[in-house]
Amino acid sequence: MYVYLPIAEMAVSVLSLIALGCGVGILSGMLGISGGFLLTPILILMGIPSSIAVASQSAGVIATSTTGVMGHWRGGFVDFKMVVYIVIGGVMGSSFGVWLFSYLDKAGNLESTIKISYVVLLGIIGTFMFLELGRTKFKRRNATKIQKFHHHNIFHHLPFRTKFKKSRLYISVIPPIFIGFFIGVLSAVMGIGGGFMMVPAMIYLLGMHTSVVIGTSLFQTLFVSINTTFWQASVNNTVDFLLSLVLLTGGVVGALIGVRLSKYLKVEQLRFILALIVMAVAIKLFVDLLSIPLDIFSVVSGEASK
Amino acid sequence: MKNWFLKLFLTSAVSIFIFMSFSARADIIEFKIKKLFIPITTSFNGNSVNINGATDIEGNIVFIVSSKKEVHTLTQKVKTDGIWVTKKIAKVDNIPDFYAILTTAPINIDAYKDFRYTVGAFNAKYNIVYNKTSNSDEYVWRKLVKAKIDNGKYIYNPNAVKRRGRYLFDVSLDLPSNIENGYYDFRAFVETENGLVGFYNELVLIERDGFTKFVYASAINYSVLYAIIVIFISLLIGYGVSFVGKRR
Repeated sequence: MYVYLPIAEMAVSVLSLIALGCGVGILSGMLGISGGFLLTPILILMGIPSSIAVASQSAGVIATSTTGVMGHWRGGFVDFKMVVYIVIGGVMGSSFGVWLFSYLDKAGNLESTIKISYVVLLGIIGTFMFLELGRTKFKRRNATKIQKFHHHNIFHHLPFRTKFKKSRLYISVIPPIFIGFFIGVLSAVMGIGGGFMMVPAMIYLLGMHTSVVIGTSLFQTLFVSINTTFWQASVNNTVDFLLSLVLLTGGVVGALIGVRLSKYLKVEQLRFILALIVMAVAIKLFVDLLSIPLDIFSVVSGEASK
Repeated sequence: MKNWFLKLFLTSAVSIFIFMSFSARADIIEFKIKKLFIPITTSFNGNSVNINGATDIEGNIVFIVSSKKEVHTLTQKVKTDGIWVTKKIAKVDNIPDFYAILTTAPINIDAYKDFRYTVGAFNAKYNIVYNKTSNSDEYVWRKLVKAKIDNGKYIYNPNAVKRRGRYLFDVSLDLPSNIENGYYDFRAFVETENGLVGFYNELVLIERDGFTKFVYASAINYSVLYAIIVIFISLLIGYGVSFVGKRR
């Protein structure tokens, strides 16, 4: 059974799309990640044009982050003052990212840029995940040592400092804006929510209290993905909502299964599986970039490539 | 059973009608396509176009199917610092996105330089807008045609047209799923010792229909509204899932 994607102008097996959405949804449900960093490269490997995969994924991120935001908002785990600064940076970054996306597309370098970015990003994430797993094991073996809540770094000495009560911080507004901008660019160019980068940045760079990190990060993801989707759809015409809908259908079912499954599996085992998948996708993309392509020449109708 | 009988009856009726219409004339080729509109719906995965026709001309029946002519961009994967990156190398205008040659027997495509029929993609009147390579325009053009053949967009099937008796013939064309929207010109003529004889054509419209048409038209013509609707529905789905999760 195939579904014709009107913007991508191609037919794709609806079952494989639902299975993909479901698979990533299961991981999301078990580990609390949006899974965009995994879904987009797999869509590209399935033959969906990079530009469509990236832009359509951003619409899916809106739905997943809304679900997360609602839960954290109800619990009061959001630092709204921090949200404002990060979102300012995020909106600027994602707007710049959409322009960059359009520029790379016109220059014909979009596909290669996205693939290279994913190889680097997934490689870093996979390596860090393995390191983190090793460190957790090491920590567990050794006696618990009292650690400082956070270390003061260069970010804490910059101008325009303000108090973030909920995060228990007194820092400059420049770092949150800068981090938001950086994640915003990545979100637009790579179709990711950015939570997996935002959360460690908030904890280790800003020194935010962990209780408000996920809720605040999800709010930023929501606003950035809304901004990205708006510009990708209205300027680049690359959002295939049918693709987003099919993936979301699988994703919702998968997330519900994932939540139930998480009760029977250890978190460390799950993280290990995810790290393996992340590394496998990174290696596959890397091999694709290095090996001689089957089709050296390709042709697209129209002015710009999809 | 009933459906099978109806198809047989209609095919026969069409064939008889065609045959009757030209029986009094000479050097005539005519055909009928069952569906002149092929909708691209959400379940579209390519389509078969069945054609029944008749001719009183002895020879090789040649069918040319061509979509509208437009600009195409040729890209090449180039190894840069050990990595294969895609580069735009040429832009070519005035060529169809889809092109098929279907015949009863193999033909020498290169022999036809007669542009009245543009037999064979290699004989088309292409227009190179730019060529960034150090190779000739002819080289670029041949690479483009090769890429089109690999995509399933340029087809040459020398045994697709089947003669049924002295006058009747039929042909089936499998259109790929990545086909573009627009009018497709189906042309037929016969290759004889005296050259190409007879000429007949029909236009078939292949277009998005129903939901796919709505989505595409909204995305292109009302892109801001489309963006707002996409965002709104995504928010709604996200909220709905959180609501269900809360109740559970």
